[in-house]
Amino acid sequence: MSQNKFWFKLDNAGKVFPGQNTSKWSNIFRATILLQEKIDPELLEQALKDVLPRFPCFDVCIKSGFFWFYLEKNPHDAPPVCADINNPCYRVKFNENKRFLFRVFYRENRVSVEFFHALTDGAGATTFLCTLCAQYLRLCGHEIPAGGHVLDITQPAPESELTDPFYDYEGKHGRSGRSTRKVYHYRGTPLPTHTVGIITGIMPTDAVLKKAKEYGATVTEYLSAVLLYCFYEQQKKETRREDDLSVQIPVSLRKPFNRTTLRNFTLTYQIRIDPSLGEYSLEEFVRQIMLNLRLVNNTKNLKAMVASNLKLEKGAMRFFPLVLKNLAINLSFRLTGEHSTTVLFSNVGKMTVPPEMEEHVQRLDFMAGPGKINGVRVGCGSIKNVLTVSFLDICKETEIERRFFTTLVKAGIPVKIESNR
Amino acid sequence: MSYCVNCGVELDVSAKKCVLCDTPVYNPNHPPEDVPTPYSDRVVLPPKVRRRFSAFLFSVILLLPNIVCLLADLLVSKENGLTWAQYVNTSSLLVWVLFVLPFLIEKVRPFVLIAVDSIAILGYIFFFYCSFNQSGWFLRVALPLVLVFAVFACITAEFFDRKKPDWPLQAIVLCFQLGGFAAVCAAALYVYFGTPLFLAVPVVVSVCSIVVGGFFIYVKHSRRMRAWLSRRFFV
Repeated sequence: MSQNKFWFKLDNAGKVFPGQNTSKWSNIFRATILLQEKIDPELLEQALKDVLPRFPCFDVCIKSGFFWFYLEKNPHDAPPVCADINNPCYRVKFNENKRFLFRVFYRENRVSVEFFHALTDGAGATTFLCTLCAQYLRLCGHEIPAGGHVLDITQPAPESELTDPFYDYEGKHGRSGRSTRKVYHYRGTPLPTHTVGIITGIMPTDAVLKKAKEYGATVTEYLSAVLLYCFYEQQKKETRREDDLSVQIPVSLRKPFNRTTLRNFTLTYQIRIDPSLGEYSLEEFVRQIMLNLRLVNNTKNLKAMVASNLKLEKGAMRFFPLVLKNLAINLSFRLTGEHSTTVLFSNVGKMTVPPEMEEHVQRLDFMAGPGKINGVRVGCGSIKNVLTVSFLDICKETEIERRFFTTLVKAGIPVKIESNR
Repeated sequence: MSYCVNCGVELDVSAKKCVLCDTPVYNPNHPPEDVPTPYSDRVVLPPKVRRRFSAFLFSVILLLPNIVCLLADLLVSKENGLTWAQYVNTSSLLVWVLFVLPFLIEKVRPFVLIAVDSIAILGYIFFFYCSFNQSGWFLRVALPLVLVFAVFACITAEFFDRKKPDWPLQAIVLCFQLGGFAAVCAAALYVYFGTPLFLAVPVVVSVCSIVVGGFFIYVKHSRRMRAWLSRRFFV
């Protein structure tokens, strides 16, 4: 795909998100970097203007065609840089924000970006944020080279970053990773519409890694197991039912398929645990999730899941007008979307930036916007030796968050809490 | 820095209580500092969807074919006056009152809407009653049934709006309302037709509803039964 091309198709994974979008809810996520110094909004605005041409797949607005939505070059130069707000990840409306599908915020020493999921996934968003912060630091007078997640803005975007790699894995044998079985959902007193409670736990990466290694697990496996264990305990406390528990874990396909795209290239695994089989300990949860994840996480399985997604897109449904597709997507999402998931745990992993930039960066937060049924979604990200786990919740109660962080504290991991509550 | 004595987590320097458990921070050595909080207090609430504008637009779209029908009917059948167009117009009016009017009025009590809808439905039925010039079914069947249904709907809407009842109480109210309405149907049909033949269905519905309502009264007072039902019939 040439950089001069005027429009892009939405990628395979992103095609569903505009259909799910409503006036009250959007699939959106936020990434934040905390720098050492206070942010100058004018310099940040300039940095954004400098960086955006390097990301042509984000310099777009969404338009509706007859059969599909598509992305078109945005006539405006950049989205406005706004002072941060208390209720991040509120709904996206396509004609607001100068028609850009991402928002940029600043507060004290924080720079945040919020992306509509149709545009990119967590990896693309954090790469954009790192590059933006690097350019901001350059404008502040620091020498920051490109490297790691900081892209070289003097070079044009290579083809590999703009293509949708899903289409390279079209195959006959599709296998969906999704299940439609209903599972336990935590319910609480809802906060007013468009507001959200954030609780971020900040902890040393090496302490979490050490604890995960004690179980023979990775950080994602360990933290998702702790999270699901909190829901298991909550269910035991709430009701005598023993519904299945399921954690949804998005997996970036860039590493297994050796790709560098900046567009959506993730799939989600759903790992289920059946509490009706007996009492579980945390150790058993970690082991179950670890083994299940490793069993399904291989390139053959991933290819089959990609093929399954492509079959949906390439099937007879492609000839339906967009209005009908949107209705079908919305209805399907309402009926099945989150019903088969107890909680989502999204880990963007460790961000690497050049050593010259590291000294100016405190930490990186990653937040997945709250769900419709599952009030709480959890995002995780790390940079240097700081790992953060952020809960975005549309319920007043903080029982799950309290269980999660106290479990980590009991495991010997020091946790610092920040919140908007 | 302060730690929560209950949860063991370190708290932000600006925190006055632990956000996880609401335990107040009390640290004489490090009182909460007057520093900026991590998040802004500014809440951005997106503007509400312009429902009234959409309703107005739909009203105009609905009006156009009605005017066309009216003019066409007047032009084609000059001597007979309005014939078929009146059915289109009255049906459109009913659709407008039932489905568009609620979006044009902001913050209206449910019973006001039910009253307006009932009048519209009665007017619509009365129009057909007059058109076909039939014997007195309007006053003896249609009017009492619509009015009783409207009264029951008002009571239910107000009760659900104010009390926010739990699911067994909702089921009890709905069952007894259905039972009551079926009994009124039976009475109205008996008065109109004068034969007990038409009584069978409403009486069966009425009796069943009252029995089911009685069962839900038992459910409401029996925690064990409620738990059993929740376990067996959860969706």
